[in-house]
Amino acid sequence: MNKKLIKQENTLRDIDLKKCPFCGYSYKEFKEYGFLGCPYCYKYFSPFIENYLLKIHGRLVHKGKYPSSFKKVKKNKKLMELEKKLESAIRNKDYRRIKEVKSKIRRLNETS
Amino acid sequence: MKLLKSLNFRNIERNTRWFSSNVYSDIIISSRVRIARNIEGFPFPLQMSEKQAELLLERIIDAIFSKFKSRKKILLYSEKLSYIEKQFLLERHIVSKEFVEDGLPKAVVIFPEEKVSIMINEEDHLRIQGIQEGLNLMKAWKKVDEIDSLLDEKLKFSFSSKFGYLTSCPTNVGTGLRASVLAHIPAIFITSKNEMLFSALEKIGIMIRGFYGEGSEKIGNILQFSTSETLGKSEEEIISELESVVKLIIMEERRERERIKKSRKLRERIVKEIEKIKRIDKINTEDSFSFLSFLALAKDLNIVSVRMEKINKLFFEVLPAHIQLKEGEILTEEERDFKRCELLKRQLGEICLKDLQRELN
Repeated sequence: MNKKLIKQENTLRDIDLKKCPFCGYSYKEFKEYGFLGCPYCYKYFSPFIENYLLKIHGRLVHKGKYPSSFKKVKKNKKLMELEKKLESAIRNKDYRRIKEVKSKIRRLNETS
Repeated sequence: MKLLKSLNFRNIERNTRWFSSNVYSDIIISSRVRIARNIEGFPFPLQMSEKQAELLLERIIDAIFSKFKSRKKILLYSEKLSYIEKQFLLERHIVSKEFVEDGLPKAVVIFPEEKVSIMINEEDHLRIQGIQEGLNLMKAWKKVDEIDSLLDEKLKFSFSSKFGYLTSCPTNVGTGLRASVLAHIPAIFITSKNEMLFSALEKIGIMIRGFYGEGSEKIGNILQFSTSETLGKSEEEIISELESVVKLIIMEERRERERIKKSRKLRERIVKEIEKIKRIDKINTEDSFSFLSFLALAKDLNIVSVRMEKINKLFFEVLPAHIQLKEGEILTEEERDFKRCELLKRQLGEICLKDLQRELN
């Protein structure tokens, strides 16, 4: 029992001592000041800060504006998905589906 | 001692007037929207070295100037500003308290036509904020959104597909957006409706703060109501939610003003409070806020005729750095109190007092 407690305490201390490899900011500092050191901290400390984010925002996943670079990534992903669908529709000779997917691709390409 | 020699602050004063007789401006003085952005490859300001901060500052300023070549803009480096100049920008809500404090090299770029300003190296690398007169949150957001989208073409903002825009403080992560209004609600205070209303607002996540926002005290009957959640809601959702809350506050304030209208005792108190200005020759900021607050109420109850725009403008002109800017020299507290009283009497004295005589008779 005692050993278990000590072990728990040690892991807690280990978490506190964890430092972001990019900026050197520690989890202990985050707990003390409530700030993070750099964008990478979000990734590095993510298992520990998710609960905190949930508590203050009630949600965990971003909704809203994207930087333009992300818009392109999103668009390309969608385009790839649609092309796969088109391929399978062509394979199945489903002409109605081909027409439908083609018009979806056209529409996606029109919006920049 | 003369001040403000290098910069034309009068020009800034003229160019950043966002109070006018507009949407709900009898109660809402201004609407503000700000977003936080950080640049990929740099730690947040808290973890930045002085050298990194200088490098980033120049990079951001270059981006702004190359992207907005033809737009009217004013660039101010914080280290080149005097104490009073910084206070002036703070009073005007163009910069924040953190910006005024010592630390890393910082700068602010003001776009007077868009009513947008960009703080660099404050808590985040960029804080883009728009201020509009009255209740005009969506317009403020549209202006900020436009500038943000254009800067996005030049700068790589830190972003995660899960958490959204990454910010120094996790309370801002996601949209990085905070929307707020500066509301003047004297009737709610006079009829003691404030506590009930405020606890209801706090329960739905609305933050209530003083005139200068975070960490500031209430001055006069002016409070700032702002949103707190930034993650998991779109910008438009956050803004329209605040807008509906603000409309409720406006309704409440109007209802209480109606009640005051009916009470002769309260009307008399308002007249007495305004009349006090006749007998004094100096006044501090707080008392002048309360004077202006009663005046606004009197205007609304048709006791005096004065334009609301003028009163909203005076709420700023009575502030210490504004007074010193106008005089063009550094004044002691007592000197400011005399000048402030002079200003109020000159601006309003005659019209008001004549009207008041009629009300009392």
